[in-house]
Amino acid sequence: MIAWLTEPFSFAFMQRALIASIIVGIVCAIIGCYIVLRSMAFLGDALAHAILPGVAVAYLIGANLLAGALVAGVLVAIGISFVSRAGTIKEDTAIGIFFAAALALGVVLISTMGSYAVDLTHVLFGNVLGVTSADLWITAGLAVVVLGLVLLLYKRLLVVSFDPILGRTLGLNIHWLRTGLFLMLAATIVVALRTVGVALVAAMLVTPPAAAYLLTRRLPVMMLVSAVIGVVSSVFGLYASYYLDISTGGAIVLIATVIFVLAFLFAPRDGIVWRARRRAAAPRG
Amino acid sequence: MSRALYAAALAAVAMAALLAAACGSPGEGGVAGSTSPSVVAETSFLADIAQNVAGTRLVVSSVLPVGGDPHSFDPTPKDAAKVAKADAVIINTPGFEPPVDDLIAGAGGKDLLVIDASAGLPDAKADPHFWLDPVSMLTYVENIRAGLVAIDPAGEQEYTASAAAYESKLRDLDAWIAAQVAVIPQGRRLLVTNHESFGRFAARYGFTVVGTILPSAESEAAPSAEGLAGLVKAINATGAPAIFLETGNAPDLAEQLARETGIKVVTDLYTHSVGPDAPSYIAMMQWNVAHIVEALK
Repeated sequence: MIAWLTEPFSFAFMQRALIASIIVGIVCAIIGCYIVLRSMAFLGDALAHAILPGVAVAYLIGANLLAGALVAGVLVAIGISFVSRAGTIKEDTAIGIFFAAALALGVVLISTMGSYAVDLTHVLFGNVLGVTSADLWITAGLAVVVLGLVLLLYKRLLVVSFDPILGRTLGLNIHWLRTGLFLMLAATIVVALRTVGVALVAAMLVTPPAAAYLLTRRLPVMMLVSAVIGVVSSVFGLYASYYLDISTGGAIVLIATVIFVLAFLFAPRDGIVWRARRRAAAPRG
Repeated sequence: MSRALYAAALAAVAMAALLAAACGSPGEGGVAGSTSPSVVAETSFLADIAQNVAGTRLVVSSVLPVGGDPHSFDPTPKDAAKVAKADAVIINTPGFEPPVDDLIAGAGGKDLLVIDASAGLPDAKADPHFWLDPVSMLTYVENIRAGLVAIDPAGEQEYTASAAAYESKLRDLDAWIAAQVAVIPQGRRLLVTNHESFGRFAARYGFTVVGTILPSAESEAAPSAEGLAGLVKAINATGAPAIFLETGNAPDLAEQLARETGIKVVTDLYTHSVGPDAPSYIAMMQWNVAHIVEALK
């Protein structure tokens, strides 16, 4: 049994995959709580496409692709925040507009290259099994910064996210805090995309927080539960992918989904199984 | 909180049970106990070419599965382990298959030798589909031979002899293709394909690429309405007789074009992988040429 548990990690690439997916699992699952509660679940996927013009420009001028992606991600985040600041245009609508525009700009830029264009976003997107030590350091550094900011600005981000009117009366600069939150989300998503790829990032931002939301309504607890689900999915996903010989990112995402389904069915208060039983019991009680 | 954790723990236990029940035997790289160097190639046709150079000294396996769509390849730990255990990995050109580049950077050992099969050939960035021109494969064979000698100097004689034998087969293939193509009237040597992959083939054998359905290799780039309309015009103007799809391509757009222009749709060319009808690189080329000649003559 011990050998069964340790064998996969006799490979260095599996160890790095474990560390990377745990870091991404924790960071994405925690900031994903803001994303799920603000109904911006689309953001991860959208940014994965929206960075294309940055990647294309970086490729054209021979710059670092990740840097190009970060610049594009930051610009899109600022744009989303600016357009949705008044509340007339909702955030998910702003995301839709900017993502489509940025993707189109990227496609146009690539079409002007006039040659066989390599699949640029796929060059940028990493793979859980292909994580390098450099990737790990960048991801870990980002994780420290992001988690530090979440701790430091916790109260303010909470107020800005869920009670902007109270925020204004408290004298907080709502717009800058919102923009800051979006920048943090964009930077995290872009770096995570580089490290582990798009499928895993998109799922980790949404599925663990959504499952956690079924189990608790208190944000700090939700963040903690979400991070635990992110880590559990990563660990079990790596084992499943090793022993069943299946795609690693896919396995992690599916296990997170199974946990979500279990929460959906059996969550103490919101699970549909208990609800059905309460409904069935109600007339007699 | 405790209930939440309890639920999470329960989920974890359930998954563990599921896993324990479902797990088979762990993947083995197949090199354990063997003293010969381990060599892997990016794709199945590269593995076949390399195997011809390696002869009987070692077995070259492919990282990408046979018939797998190279644009949607998502490696498993077994694939990564192949690269991790390898002494050398043969690639078509850097950047051609990003997931394999990732595996080389992340999973490959410090001493892993990366053999760039197309090193020395011009304009890999403009069109990396060198292998559809068998003459370019002479360069591939030489690069692979040099790489194998570098990791296994004792085998130099055998590698050089096998490479020379395979090179003469490639020259035969080139002559055979030229003879086959000669059957097609000059004015009908026109290719319409799914994406930009036949440029090198066309240049070698005197074909004109009339157009491609997909505007580039960017798999997310959908063809524009204007692009398709332009292609319809080009097909009508040149009288291109057939449109050629590679295995795994969705036929809907090609069939749309066929309805619009009366062009014939030829499916199942093997361009990125060997397949059941064409188990080797040479068989792949013969299959493709036979289908192209049949449709255009």
